[in-house]
Amino acid sequence: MRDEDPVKIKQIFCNVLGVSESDVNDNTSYNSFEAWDSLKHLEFIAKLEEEFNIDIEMDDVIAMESFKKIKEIMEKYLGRKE
Amino acid sequence: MNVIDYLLEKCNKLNKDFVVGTKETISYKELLDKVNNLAFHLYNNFGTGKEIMLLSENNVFFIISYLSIMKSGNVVILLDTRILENDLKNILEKCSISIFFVQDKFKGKLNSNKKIFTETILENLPERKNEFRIETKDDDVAEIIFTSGSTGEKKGVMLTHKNIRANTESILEYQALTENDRIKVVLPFFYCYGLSLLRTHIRVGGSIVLNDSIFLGSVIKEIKQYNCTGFAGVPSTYQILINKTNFLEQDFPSLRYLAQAGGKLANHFILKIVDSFPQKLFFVMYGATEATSRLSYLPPHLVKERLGSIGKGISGVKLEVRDANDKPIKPNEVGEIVASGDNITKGYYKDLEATSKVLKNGWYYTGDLATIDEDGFIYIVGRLSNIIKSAGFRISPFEIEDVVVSLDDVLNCAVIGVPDDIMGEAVIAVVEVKEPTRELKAKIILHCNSVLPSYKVPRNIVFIEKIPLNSSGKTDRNKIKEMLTSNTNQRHNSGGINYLSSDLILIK
Repeated sequence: MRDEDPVKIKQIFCNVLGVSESDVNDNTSYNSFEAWDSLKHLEFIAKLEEEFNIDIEMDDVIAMESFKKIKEIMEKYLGRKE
Repeated sequence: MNVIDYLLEKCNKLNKDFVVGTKETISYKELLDKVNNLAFHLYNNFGTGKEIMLLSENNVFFIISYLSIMKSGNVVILLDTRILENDLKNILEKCSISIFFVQDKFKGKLNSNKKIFTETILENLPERKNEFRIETKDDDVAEIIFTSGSTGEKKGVMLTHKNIRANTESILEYQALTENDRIKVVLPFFYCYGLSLLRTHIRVGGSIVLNDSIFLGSVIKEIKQYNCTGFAGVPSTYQILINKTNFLEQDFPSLRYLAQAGGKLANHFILKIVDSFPQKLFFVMYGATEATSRLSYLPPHLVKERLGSIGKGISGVKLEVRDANDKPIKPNEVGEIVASGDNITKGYYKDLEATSKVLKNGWYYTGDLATIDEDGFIYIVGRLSNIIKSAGFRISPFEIEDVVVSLDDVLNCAVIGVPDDIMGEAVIAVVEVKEPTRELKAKIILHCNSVLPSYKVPRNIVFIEKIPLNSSGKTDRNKIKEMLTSNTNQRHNSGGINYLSSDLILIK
């Protein structure tokens, strides 16, 4: 994963959810963050796949339940790519 | 009889869990105790006949609150958890709600000076040993559901104790649910379809598995893990599962049936499901909040033979399709579906005008347009308000959508009419695909030309990043129209491309 990737991931996340970047941190989680619903999640995954040209496996889509998890899982995909 | 006492009638004999799952579970015994305690607490402190709001996702808190409010002789008002601030404000002004049951995470939507109960109320309820019962009249309102209507102010559908009981009985009869049934629930309980799953499974003594996963694909694992016998979805549920997961390749040994309602699922998808699961029953159903939930179903063995039909009225419901003069239509004509039965609402909350438009002479006018075949099976062709009037023809968007999504490159499609100087309205297909290209656009038009009469062939294809859905998971046609207009305006201003242009158009 390149240094700018986490920034990019956060930008995509915030754009899809329509929230400001200051509202999102590692603890932001699906269960407690109202703007994050399952439809938005699908949209977010689609954007990630398109932006980074990857295919995210279903188990990972399910596991991306917090912003911290999103970054960890993305590291796996982007690390593997390099 | 209070409908909750009817729903809970068999529960005290059951020694098992009602809610099963990884996160929250509750046994029938605990459920009964908590509902009894909370209902008594509500009655003791606030009496009966009060309007009590419930705003929560699917969880044990929702279930207990929902049952207790009605059991105590009060009226539960159900709202979409994604309700917009302004809609909530209007509803609060219209209703006289004094008590609020709100999942902690949504507390911020309300003023802190209100009387709000959150999940913590369930932790320290005073014990009530004897069973507490409040008698209600059949015609008393039990719940009010504010619908995710398409335009204008939200309307509160008032459902009585009799309505709920009648619809629960009818559904149990055709789905033949038993104590052994266990359903994987992904539909929200604030929506009439989701609620019907909750009520039927409590009444029959079955069990449910809730869903709090971020992605629908998790149902594949959970249906297997918890040996679910049933699964219910709206069209988008199945479209997401088919397009984004390997749902169709699964073998679900425990699963007895799949059910679909909440809008027309394209025939192409129905066939995919039926062909992938030849051993399972597939129920195509039709309903409305104004009918408590269900109005019709197609017996599963007829799903291929009567492909695309919503079947006929369920027991206790009379369904007719009538023309503009209120006479039953002949086969292949188009008319409006009307319904009567004990499940039909007594009207919209504080809205006599809207009520008088849909309830006439004991019949509910659904606003859905349909045709019938020689044997009386009903086929929906569109909403009164969605019908496209082009060059003097009345065109159903569904038929064209069916044709477009039958192409494998197409993920989803919504056909709408846009104002057109010559045609009145022009047919536009708004299409969601993986990769929008000129070739694909040409392919879609070509395919439509080969199977549709010329007046039904879309004048243009507009690619959309994602078909917007409303909170019931239905295609949000008004939103799409809005997007089209705002996109075209922008384009007009910046150089004049419009939605009839031959260029590749992609809207976001």
